[in-house]
Amino acid sequence: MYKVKIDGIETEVNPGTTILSVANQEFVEIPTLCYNENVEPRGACRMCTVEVEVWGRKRLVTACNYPIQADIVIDTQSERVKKLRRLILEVLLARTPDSPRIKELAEKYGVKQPRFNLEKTHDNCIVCGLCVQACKDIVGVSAIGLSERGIFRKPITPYEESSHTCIGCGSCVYICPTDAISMVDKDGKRYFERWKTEFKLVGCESCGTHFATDVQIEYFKKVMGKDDPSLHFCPNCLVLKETKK
Amino acid sequence: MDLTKVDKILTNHKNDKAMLVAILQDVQDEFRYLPKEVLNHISKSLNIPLPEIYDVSTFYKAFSLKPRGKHICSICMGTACHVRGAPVILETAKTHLKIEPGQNTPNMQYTLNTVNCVGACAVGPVIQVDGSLYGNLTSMKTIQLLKKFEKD
Ligand code: SF4
Ligand code: FES
Repeated sequence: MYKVKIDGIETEVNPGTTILSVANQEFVEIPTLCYNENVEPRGACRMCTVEVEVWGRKRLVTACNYPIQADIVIDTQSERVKKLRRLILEVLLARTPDSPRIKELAEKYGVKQPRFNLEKTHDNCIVCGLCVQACKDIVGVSAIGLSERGIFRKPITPYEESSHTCIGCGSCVYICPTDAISMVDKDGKRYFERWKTEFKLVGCESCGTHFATDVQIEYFKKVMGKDDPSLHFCPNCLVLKETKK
Repeated sequence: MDLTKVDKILTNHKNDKAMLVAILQDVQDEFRYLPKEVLNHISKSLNIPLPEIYDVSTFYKAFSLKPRGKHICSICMGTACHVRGAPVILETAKTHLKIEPGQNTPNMQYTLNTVNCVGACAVGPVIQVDGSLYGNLTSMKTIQLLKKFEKD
């Protein structure tokens, strides 16, 4: 066990616990963007940066993927942290001025007009790679990836063509911290603008509501190794059926 | 497309995923670019998702996803070459080959590129053709040089 002091609160943790999980446990707020508890943290967005003191040395680290390996003092509100947080938000705001999430964070931490004047892209993507990782680690299809480098880096399907491996589940849409991926369900079809991919929607056998894509259902059958009622009915009707039993 | 050549490259690297960059380099040496079919084939053979291969292929400037000419002609536009007349050399090459940087000649003999400093400032302006350096260039010498590679 290591001694931890976070914003004055003292506690003890097991080796390897991340700063972010200690913070959550102690109700200390640390802003995050690219972190999601269901995938390995990658430290891509730097939003969660905090100041730590280990063995008498102070440094800035990302809370989401910093494993505690010694007694540690953590400061989430130091001047250095606040300054860096503002700089990160300034950069993000310059890049994605339309994103409600970034605007909200910027306002909260006192960032108004960014000094940087970038060409407007109307793209809310902050290139955190969370969608790519979710597609690989949660869904298990790896239909999307990052491409290019530097300012051109972005998540795409290979060759920016309609994907043959995507199952149209929409996990990327739900996990994206800045709502940068659009998914439109219309006329029995589901379309992902960013992935240039379209799917046929399947209706619930009881109420008819569209609840999944045909490819998604086939994929689930394969993964489960069998057919299952959950692949025929929408979540609502499924609950109704269960309770009637 | 001859995929047996690709299989040979893969065997040379023991079908090791970790050797992806080296494999792509060998593929590019063989085909002069990274063809789509080949990337698909590597993806299936090594069980690496295509988006990951695409990421590596687009990340490094040394890889090209578009077919390239037999000879890669890179004109140095670094500071030293620039002040020693690189813009004139570039204009000469453009007019002679009738293409813009980044393009191939219709007979696929040449691909024209610009680069920023090849580290041979002392002999600028410099052109690199297929990895070899040609320095102290003038417009005349540039045309002679380009003609030399036109046939083979
Ligand atoms: S689309 Fe969203 S999840 Fe994907 S890289 Fe961009 S910001 Fe991150
Ligand atoms: S949340 Fe930690 S770096 Fe993004």
